[in-house]
Amino acid sequence: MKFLHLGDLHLGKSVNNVSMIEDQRYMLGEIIRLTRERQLDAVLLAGDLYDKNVPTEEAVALMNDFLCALAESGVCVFAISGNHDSDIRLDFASSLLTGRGVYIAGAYNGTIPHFDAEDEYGPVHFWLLPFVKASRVRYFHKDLDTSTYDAAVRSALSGAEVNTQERNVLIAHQFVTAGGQDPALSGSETRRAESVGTVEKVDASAFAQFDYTALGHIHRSQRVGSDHIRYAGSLLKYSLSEAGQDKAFPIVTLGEKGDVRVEPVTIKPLHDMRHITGRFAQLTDPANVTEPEDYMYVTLTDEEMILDALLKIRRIYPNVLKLDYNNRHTADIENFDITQTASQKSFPEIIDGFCRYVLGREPGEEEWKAINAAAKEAGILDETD
Amino acid sequence: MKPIKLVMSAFGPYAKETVIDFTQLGPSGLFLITGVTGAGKTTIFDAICFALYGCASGKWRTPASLRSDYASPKDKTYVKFTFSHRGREYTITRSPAYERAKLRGSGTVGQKEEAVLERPGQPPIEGKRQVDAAAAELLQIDIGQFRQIAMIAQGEFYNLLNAGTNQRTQIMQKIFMTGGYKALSGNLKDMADAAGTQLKEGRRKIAQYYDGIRCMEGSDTAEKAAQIMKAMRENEAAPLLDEMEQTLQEAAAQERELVQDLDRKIEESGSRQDQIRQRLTLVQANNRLLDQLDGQMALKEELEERKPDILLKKEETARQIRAVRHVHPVYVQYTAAAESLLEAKEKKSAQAEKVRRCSEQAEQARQQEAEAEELAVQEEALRLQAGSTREDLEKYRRRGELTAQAEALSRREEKLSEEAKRLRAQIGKLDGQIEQDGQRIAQLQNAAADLARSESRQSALQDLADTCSQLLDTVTQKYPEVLDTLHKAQAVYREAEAAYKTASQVSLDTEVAVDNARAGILASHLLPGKPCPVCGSTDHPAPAALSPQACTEEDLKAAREKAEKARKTKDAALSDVQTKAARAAALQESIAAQAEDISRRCVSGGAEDEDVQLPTDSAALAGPLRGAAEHLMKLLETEQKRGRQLKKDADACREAGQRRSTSLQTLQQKRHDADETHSALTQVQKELAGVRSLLSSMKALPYQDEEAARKAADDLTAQADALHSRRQAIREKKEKAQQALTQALSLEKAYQDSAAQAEDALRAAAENLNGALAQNDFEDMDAFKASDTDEKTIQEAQKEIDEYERQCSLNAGMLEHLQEQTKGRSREDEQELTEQVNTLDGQIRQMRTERSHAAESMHINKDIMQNIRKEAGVTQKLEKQYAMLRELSNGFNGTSAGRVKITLEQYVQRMGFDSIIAAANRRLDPMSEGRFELCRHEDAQDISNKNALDIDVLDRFTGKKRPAGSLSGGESFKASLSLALGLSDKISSDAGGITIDTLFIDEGFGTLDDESLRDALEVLAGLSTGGRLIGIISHRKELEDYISDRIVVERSADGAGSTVRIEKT
Repeated sequence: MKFLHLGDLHLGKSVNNVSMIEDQRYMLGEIIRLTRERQLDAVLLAGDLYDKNVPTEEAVALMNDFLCALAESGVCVFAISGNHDSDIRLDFASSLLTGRGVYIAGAYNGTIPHFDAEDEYGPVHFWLLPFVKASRVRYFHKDLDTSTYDAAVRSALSGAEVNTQERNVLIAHQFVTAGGQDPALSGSETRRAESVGTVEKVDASAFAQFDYTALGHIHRSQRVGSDHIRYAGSLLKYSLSEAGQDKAFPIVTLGEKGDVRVEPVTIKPLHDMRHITGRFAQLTDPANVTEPEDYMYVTLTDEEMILDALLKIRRIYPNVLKLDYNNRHTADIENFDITQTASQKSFPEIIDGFCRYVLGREPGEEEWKAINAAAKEAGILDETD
Repeated sequence: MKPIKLVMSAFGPYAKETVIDFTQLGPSGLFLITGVTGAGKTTIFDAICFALYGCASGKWRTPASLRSDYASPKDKTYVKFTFSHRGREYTITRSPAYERAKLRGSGTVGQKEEAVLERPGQPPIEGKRQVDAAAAELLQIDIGQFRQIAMIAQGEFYNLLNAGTNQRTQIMQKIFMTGGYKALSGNLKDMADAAGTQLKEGRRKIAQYYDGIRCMEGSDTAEKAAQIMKAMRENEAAPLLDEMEQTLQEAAAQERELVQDLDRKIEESGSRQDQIRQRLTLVQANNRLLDQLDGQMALKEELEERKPDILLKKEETARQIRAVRHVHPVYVQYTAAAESLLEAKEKKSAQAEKVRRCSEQAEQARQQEAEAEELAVQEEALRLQAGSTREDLEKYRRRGELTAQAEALSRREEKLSEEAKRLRAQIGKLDGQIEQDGQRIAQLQNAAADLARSESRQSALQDLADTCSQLLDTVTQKYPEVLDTLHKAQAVYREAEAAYKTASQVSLDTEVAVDNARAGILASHLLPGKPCPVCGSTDHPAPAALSPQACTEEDLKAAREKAEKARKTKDAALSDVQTKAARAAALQESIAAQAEDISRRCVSGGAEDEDVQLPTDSAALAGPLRGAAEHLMKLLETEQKRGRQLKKDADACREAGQRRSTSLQTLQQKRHDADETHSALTQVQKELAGVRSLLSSMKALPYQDEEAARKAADDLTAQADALHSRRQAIREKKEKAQQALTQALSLEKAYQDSAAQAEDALRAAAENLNGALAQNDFEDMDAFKASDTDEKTIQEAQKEIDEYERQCSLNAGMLEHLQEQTKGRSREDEQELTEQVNTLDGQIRQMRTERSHAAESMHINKDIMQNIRKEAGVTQKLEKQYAMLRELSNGFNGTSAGRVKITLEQYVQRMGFDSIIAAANRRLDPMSEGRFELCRHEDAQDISNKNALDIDVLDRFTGKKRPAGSLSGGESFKASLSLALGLSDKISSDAGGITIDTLFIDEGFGTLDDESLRDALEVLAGLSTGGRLIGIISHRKELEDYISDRIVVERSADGAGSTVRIEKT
């Protein structure tokens, strides 16, 4: 059995106010071609299929096309809802779709739906665990331990009667740690899961009973704890920090029980996302310009501000997403410490600075006398100063 | 200021008491207030604002509108806000003024505004004004500033960003406490002003000094000086010291010259004047001599003229001398002697007269003496009499006593006898009275008993009469009534009987009919073939027919019932009749009984004079009964009358009895008294007799009583004394007369002698006088008298003569002398010379004045010079000082011409402001993804610095700066938020000044697109430091995903206001 592990499609997302729908459409088209080429049996979608609770019309249309195309090809689709999706909306007509080989798990209702497929080696069980909150698990399993998030997820999984003799694949959308170590983020994840308050983390050991765990939520493709627990990574580069990472989606081949092979496959997107740094003159030198259609993050290192920098750069890179500067000035801004302010300056320093500014010179001795006298009367200085 | 707990009651949409416990929110310090539109999110901020400042958070809400419309009149509107500030906890409870419906009655009543601030360790503060002031002091910022830096209300975000420099200055002042710098600048200005004034003063002094310069009039120097003065007055500029010095020196030199010149001239004139004076003196002397000579000559002539007169006078004077000195005394002697002679004579004759008188008197006296002898005898007799009378005085007294005694006794006797008589009379009367009373009593003894009997009889009669009348009533009324009832009942009965008969008849008929009908009914049911119920035959040839009067069972029953009822009625009527009959009979019996009784009683007691027999028959009873009753009444009346009379008698009897006993008592008393009186009387009489006898035994006395006797004795004595004294007087008189006579005689003798002497003396004096006259060449007395004057006149004349002579000799001498001196001399004119001298004098004087004037001027100018120099020294120093201070002041106060105009305060603020902007940029950079940067507006061209604290935005995309107001809505929000966070950073990092570690943001996130929202929230999420609290109101759902601590405000469906709960996910 061969299947493609995808996740975090975030259909309908805009990056820096630029809609990525066309790029997404291109990617999905490539994926469909891939499935046909490689004769895949299934495609796994590990959550965050849409970018918003109420996805845009274009996103919905695109998903529609995607699923239909896959179904036409006879490819099964196993999809779960992620934290960005509306699990209930995703559930729409899901039971009807099962007939066409599209299996969607949206809202958690106490049990983990599983669907069985067959191959020459026997049955393969696909377990679909959508993104859940601890409170929801608690609601369905009052008697189980849900004191931590980890415990809650384990409690939810406990309801799955997994026959470890047979092959089982889990699809989940979680923040999984391996032995206490967090997965590497790519930067475009929203920090919600680890945001202020409780951190919703699950340890990889919870998935020990599954032959392969297809995870979503982290946008960087990576393994967690074991080769068989993986993040597919997001469909496209969705933030500046991903500009340097290339996306590679795992194609998983299940042989006999115990035989799990993973092959990462790269798909070239319509437009790459790149980050270039340098001086304006350099960057705009036509000799240095490659792939102008790419989505660009431009960082200028000029000390002086360039007039109409963005405009000028856009003439060269029409799809420039963001422009910023990295020079001494911006470094100062970043490193600014509020505690070092005027109030820390001493009185003589202030006066000295002021006189230089207004009179063009330091105050003389007589002037200092007068100033001190006036200051004492104004109460700024004590008698002892 | 960090919120701890908020309680709202009847406030905004919160109808009931609503509590928000901020401590329940997580430690992160970032929380969300979420809810549908109008649920009451902003109201929470309003409540906090209101509690602290007494106003709502936004411009558009007023405190009066804060009362919940959902509240019942009972619910009070108030806000209770507990917060910590600098480590201490405070609670403010505030309620606005509002109108609420009255609990009773209709209409509204106003609720006053109230405020209370509770502080730890101190008593609470109450009253809106006091609490406002205390809260302002605590927080150190007013509501305007609070709204800019701590609570950013809906729609007011941009205020902070776009606030003008002036507004911002105020906030900066509070935050950076730059007030001191402002004061410093002010002080410098004051110092500069003071120095300026001093300088001006110094210069003025110099000018004043200089004004006193003395120059020669019309000289160049004077002109120059005038110019200098003018210039100085016009410009008030630095004094032209050099020019002044020069002019002063010039003037001084001039003056010196002048002085010298004048000195010289004065000396010259002086010496000339002396010369002339000398000459003048000579001329004058000469002239004087000549004048004198003339004078003496004239005098001589005069003296010559007088000479003859003088000679005459001389003669006369000689004569006078002789008269006065020599003759006059003698003459005086003579006159004196003559006078004394006269006197002596007179005395003599007078005395003779006196002698005669005295002898007469003596004679008289002797005669009287003889008479006096007789008087002595009289006197003696009187004395004797007086003596005897005195002896009898005692006896008088005694007699008087006795008489008085006798009188008293007789009076007493009279009284007593009268008393006795009176008593006797009384006793007699009493006896009579007693007698009378006794008789009376005997008469009326029985009255009481009779009275009792009469009374009982009266009652019996009354009773009987009553009974009669009762019976009469019964007979006349009750009985007929009863009979009547009986008759009626009987009638009813007869009717009922008749009815019953009819009814029973009907019943019977009906029964028959029914029986008959029964057959018919049965017959009607007969069906051919069906057996007859009666007989069983199935053949019914002739069924009974229903009678037309179908009387059914019901009819029968009815009839029977009716009959039964009628019977019952009849029976009832019968019994009724029976009862009534019985009653009538009973009544009849009772009447009869009563009548018998009455008759009996009449007989037995009462109407003894007539037997009243009453028939027992009721009918015939009425008349006799009435008659009996009347009769009884009459008897009763008579008896009653009798009774009354008896009563009177009984009372009278009792009275008499009482009187008698009292009288007896009195009688006894009186008898006793009478006895006593009698015995007393006897006593008195005895005494009286005794006294009388004593009196009669006393001798008769001439006088009335002692008093008269005494008086008589005194009279006699007095008479005797008078006589005695008279005798004495006579004797004395005689002796005196004798003495006088003797004296007069001797005196007469003396006078005679002296008269003779005086004659002699006179003779001698006359002789002397004649001799003197002859000696001094007087012819006679007349001649003498003519020359007789006094010494004084002589002296005067002598003096005159001497004077004349002297003058003569003097004059002669002078003449001689002068003639010698003026030999060969003549007169000269001295007028001209004198004039010359005077002129010169005047000139010299003038010159002297001029000189002193000039010397003075020199001196003055020298002084002026010194003063100016001194003052100039001071002024120079002042100038320097002033210049320095002025420059400093201008610099510090931003009033330097041509230089950057910024005050020290603004400068300091700018530095602080820069730090805030830098802090803001630290947030804005990530929020705007490196695109925007805030900076302070700097305009090199504009040195007025009016907009020194305005904010510009640098757009890195274009590399240009533009004003902050040009940002779009969402961009503005990001910038404002960054700025607010920067301010908040600044404020919380400082130890002093304001302590606001809370930031509330009301909406505004609606203007952000999704990415911006994410960016903004990323920034906010990173703000979980230092215990700061950031509260956000938003209705955007995305925020719920990002912020786990929430205050959820829900609007209740039933319109009962909103509720609040805290959620943590």
